[in-house]
Amino acid sequence: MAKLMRNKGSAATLSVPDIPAFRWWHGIIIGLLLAYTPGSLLVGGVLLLPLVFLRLIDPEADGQRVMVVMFYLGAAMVHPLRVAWSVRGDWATCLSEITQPTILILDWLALGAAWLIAEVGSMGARVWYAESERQRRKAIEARIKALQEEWIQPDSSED
Amino acid sequence: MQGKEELPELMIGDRYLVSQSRRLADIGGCPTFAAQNVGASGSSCLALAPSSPSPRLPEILMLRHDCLMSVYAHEHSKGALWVICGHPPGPPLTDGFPSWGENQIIEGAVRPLAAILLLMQEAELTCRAIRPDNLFFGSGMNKLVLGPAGLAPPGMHQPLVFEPLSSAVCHPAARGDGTLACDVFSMGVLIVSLCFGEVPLKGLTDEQILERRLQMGSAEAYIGGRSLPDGLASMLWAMLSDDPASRPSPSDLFTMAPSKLFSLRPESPARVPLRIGTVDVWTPRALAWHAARAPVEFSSLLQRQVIASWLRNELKQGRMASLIEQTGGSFLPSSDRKAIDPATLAITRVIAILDPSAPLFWGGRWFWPNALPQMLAYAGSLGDKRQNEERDVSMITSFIMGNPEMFDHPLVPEAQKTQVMELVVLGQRTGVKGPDRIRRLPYDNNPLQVCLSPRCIVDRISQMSGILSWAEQHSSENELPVEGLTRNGLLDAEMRSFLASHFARQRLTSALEAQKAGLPIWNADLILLAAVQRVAEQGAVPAITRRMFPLLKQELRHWRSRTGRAKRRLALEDAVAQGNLTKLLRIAEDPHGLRLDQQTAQRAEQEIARLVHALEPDPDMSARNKRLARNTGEFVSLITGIGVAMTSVWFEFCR
Repeated sequence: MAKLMRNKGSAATLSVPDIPAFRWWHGIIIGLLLAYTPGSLLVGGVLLLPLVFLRLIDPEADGQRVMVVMFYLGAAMVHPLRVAWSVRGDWATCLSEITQPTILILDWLALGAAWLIAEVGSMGARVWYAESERQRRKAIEARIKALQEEWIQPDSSED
Repeated sequence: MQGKEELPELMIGDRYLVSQSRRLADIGGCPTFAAQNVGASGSSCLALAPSSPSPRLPEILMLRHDCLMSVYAHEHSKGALWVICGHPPGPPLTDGFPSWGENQIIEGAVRPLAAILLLMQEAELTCRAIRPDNLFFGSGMNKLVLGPAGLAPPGMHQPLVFEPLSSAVCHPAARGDGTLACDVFSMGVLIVSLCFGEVPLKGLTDEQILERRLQMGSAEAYIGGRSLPDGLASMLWAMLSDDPASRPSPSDLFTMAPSKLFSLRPESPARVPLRIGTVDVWTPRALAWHAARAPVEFSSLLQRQVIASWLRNELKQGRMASLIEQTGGSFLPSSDRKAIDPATLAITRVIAILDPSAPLFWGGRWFWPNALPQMLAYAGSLGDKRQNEERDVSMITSFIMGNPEMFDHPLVPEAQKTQVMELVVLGQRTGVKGPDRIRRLPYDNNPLQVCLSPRCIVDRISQMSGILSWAEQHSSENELPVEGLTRNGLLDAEMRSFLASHFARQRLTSALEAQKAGLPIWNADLILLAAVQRVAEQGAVPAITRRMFPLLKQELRHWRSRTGRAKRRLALEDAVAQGNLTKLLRIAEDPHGLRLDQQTAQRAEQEIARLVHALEPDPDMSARNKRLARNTGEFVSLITGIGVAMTSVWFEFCR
């Protein structure tokens, strides 16, 4: 899994981070959604705004990071989207949904949580790596010292 | 012989107690001490301390005859040979010659001595010790008893009068084994002395005796003008002949009867003498002798063809003269051998023509080639004066051994040729080169030769184990300072040659490889001594091991492993306490172990290099770690995100 992620990560750093590559079918889908369920699209669009914000402020936010954040945003979007679905995209209801402060706060908190957990995790991993590297160096130094004492240094106590 | 205060008594062969403080008159040319048989009888006997016994001593001691003093035992003590024999039955002849009649002389002297010579003839030995101080009156005073033979170098202690001319001209040490004819001559002189009641030519110096014998012939010089018993006269004239072939054989003498006649080809002197320098010479033999004494005058006579014409005209020796004329030309400097002075070679060759029975004249001295090992041994025993003598004899020996073809010449007498070839073979068998070859010669020639090292010659060491005991006693700091030990080793060159010869005799050459292997000299010595300890099954030598411990400890520096060094140091201490040289060496000098140690050390060095490289900071490392950490963080976040999303869905739809 980690290997897979690393591959993905390296691929992401190579691609252009800020402007997603829009294709023609992206336009058709958005056009159809605008035509038939503008309310749901509004709910989705507003709730996905933190993602846009992330891409704008975090230059390191690659596809991998976006995917992670999507899970969190998705978790926050489950309820509003279900409401939008149940009212069949009623514009007024969708508008009231996206103006509810609880939903907006939850949505932005989801982004924060995703970012925070990733950063804390990476910090923890860094600490852990540093510690294991220190242990390794200590073991090597001890081995060098033992070898030198046995094979290199003439001992003064002998003669 | 140790210091008398230090070692007054010595036990030989568990039976004979030797009082080294009670020295008696020499017997057989050896220092003699009073001894006692502490076995059953408790009787008194003599202990003889020979320094240079015959190489064939064991065979000689096997000879048994009523008129030959027999030996009870011969044993080594601390490497020195001791010979135990009984007291002589009567006083020596030097105390006074008896007034014996003709028959008494034949029965009491001629027959017994001839019988002994016959025994020696059977064993292919020579006696070379028939002289008044080695002959004793037997019990009843009616016959003579010969002292123990073979205990001194042949002819070494013979007065000049008792030696035939062929060895009388040589230095006592250069007389060589000789032949039975030499013994017959000595016997003849003895019998003449018995007849006259005194030694012939008494009161003259050796030089005068030689001069007179050479000019007149020995027989004429000894007997001339005096009356001999009728029955003995013809035998004595024959025995005293200067031509060995004219002397009677031991069996002729054994069957001697007063009426027996011996024929003799008379040698007549020249009608007119030849003047060489200030001396008038009457015989070719005397000319040969004077040629050696005045080589310049002789060369001039030789070049002016005076000698050849004198031989032809005054001596009727036409063949001798033409030989000299023929060879004279071939000795001119046309020879390609620049190292040899042609005049020297000419004199040597002409002397051999003038007197074929004479010894070799070379390098300014007369000697028999087979006496060269003995001459080297004699030079080695001279103490302070040894250096010059040793150098001269070594040069002669090394020339002869290096140029045997010079002596493989039709004019070189057969006896000399054979002896030179034997010497060359003896030298070649060792496979040693240079000064060591010369130094080994006395030991290779004679297994009973005492070690000639000036440090131990007084101890008369003739066995390998004696050297080890000597080293054990003389390895203290006072006698062998540390610098001396590291620079010159425990032993000296003579001792090494002595041991090398004995090892070669026992076919144990492996111990000698160390000498050539370029090891430190003390180390090579230690290897030799360890081999001695093994071969001679000698006990512990704690003084040597203690002395060598610091040096061997230093050797442990070559070991790279610290624990290996510590382990070996402990083992060394153990071996030192046991006094075991072989064990000591096996610990300190272990080439296989050392190679293994070096290989392991190399591997350790490689490992250290690899580890040091691994410790170097990797420039990519931090970036890689950062990325890895970020990925890990995102992974954690992703898992949590999936969990949150699923929880959210569960909340929305399943409640």
